[in-house]
Amino acid sequence: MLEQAKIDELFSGGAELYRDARSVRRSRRSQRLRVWLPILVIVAALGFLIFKGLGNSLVYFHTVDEALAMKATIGTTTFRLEGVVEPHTVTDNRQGGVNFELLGQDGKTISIVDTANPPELFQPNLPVVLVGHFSGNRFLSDQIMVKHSATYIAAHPNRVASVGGKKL
Amino acid sequence: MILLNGYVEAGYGAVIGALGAYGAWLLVRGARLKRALVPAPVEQERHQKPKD
Amino acid sequence: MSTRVIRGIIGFTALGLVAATVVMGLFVTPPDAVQGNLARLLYVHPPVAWVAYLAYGVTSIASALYLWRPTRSRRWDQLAVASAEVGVVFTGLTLVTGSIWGRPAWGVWWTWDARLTTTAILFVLYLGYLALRRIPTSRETRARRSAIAALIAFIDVPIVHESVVWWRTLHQGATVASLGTNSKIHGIMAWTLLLGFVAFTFVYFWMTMLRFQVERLAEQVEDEEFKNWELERAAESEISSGAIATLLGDGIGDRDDTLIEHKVR
Repeated sequence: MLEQAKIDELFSGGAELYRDARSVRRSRRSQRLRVWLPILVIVAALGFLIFKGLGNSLVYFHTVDEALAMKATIGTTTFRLEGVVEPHTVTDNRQGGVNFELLGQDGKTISIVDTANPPELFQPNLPVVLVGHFSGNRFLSDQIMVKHSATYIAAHPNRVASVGGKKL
Repeated sequence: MILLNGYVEAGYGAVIGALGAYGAWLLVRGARLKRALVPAPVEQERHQKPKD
Repeated sequence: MSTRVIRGIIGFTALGLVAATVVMGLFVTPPDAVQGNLARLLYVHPPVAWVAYLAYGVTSIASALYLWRPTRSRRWDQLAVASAEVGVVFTGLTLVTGSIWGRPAWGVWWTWDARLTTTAILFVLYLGYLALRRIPTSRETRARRSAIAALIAFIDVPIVHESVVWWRTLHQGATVASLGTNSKIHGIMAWTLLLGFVAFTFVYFWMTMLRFQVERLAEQVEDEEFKNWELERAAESEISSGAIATLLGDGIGDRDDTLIEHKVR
């Protein structure tokens, strides 16, 4: 038989242990949160990305020819338009952007009025992707993205032994 | 030589900085774990007694 | 030669090669005709992206070897997580360097074209893989579960790579499609690009070896801790009387069942 004092002592120790167990359980709950929260965030992010991807990526842009063909159905909806900046047509406009002709593959062009500051690399002969919409016969763009090629040629080719590589 | 345009430096800096930091973190983690594995003989003895 | 020595040699080689890439990339190579100095990002961005592919490839092979019974071993699981973590670092760097390049070259930090979107998905998929591994369970369950997840996530790698071919993208196509027939890039630029690929591949091997070692050590420490905890518990139960054990059994018993599950493995 245990003495009463001994029992009391054991029980008070037990209460401590019990409290311990409870705090362990609480910390386990927060630990569980630490594990599942990132997973939840990741699943949500994946859903968002796939949604964005399906909405945007599959047909990222329309070419000049496609846009002209679809002009009636497109109306003034905003879309991305791709073509090449026709040389000798680029002029600064009053809205802080540039006006130029966008050249398609079949030689057809669309007149562009751009209101955004074009990126550094913007120059004639480069393919660009514009974000904007038709307004009458013109395409109003508020963003120019330069679609540069995968070709790299030294700026001063004479200094380096020349290797095959076509200029744009 | 005055460099470039800021973007190039930022790109190189990001790569070198991030890889350097990750590498250093791995080295520290490895060293810490190794230290944790050094046996503490006194502790071990005390614990092993009741088992025998 | 010990692994430690080999790792050291690989580490210093990597360091030297990266330094050479930086010198070549920033100072020796000429600026590009169209992109000017911006083209210098070519020597880090594609190599970093390549390492991410490589890392996930290694994770997939290691995961498959773990799942296949004849080759099942803890080591494959440890290699899989080591390589995946390094891969996530490199994927993150691919996104960052791409964004830094995109801003001046394209005019935007980000756009939802197929290459960029699928790369972002790749990053999140492998973050998910790492998060999945943090769910407490037995090592065996975790290894099996994450090996399957790794193999599923890898499906995105060829999609990322082919995205510029399959869909219309703002992102350019491959500069070096196949070795040898390479007319898209100027001599010394091509060599520096190759140097970048080799340099970051060495960095990958060094990091993965080190991360693998860290994983092994972490498991050893975990085992030690469990052993100590078991001994402590044995000592504790000797002190407590039966009555107390009955009273508190519930509280103490499930004190840390994750450790108990480890024991069962």
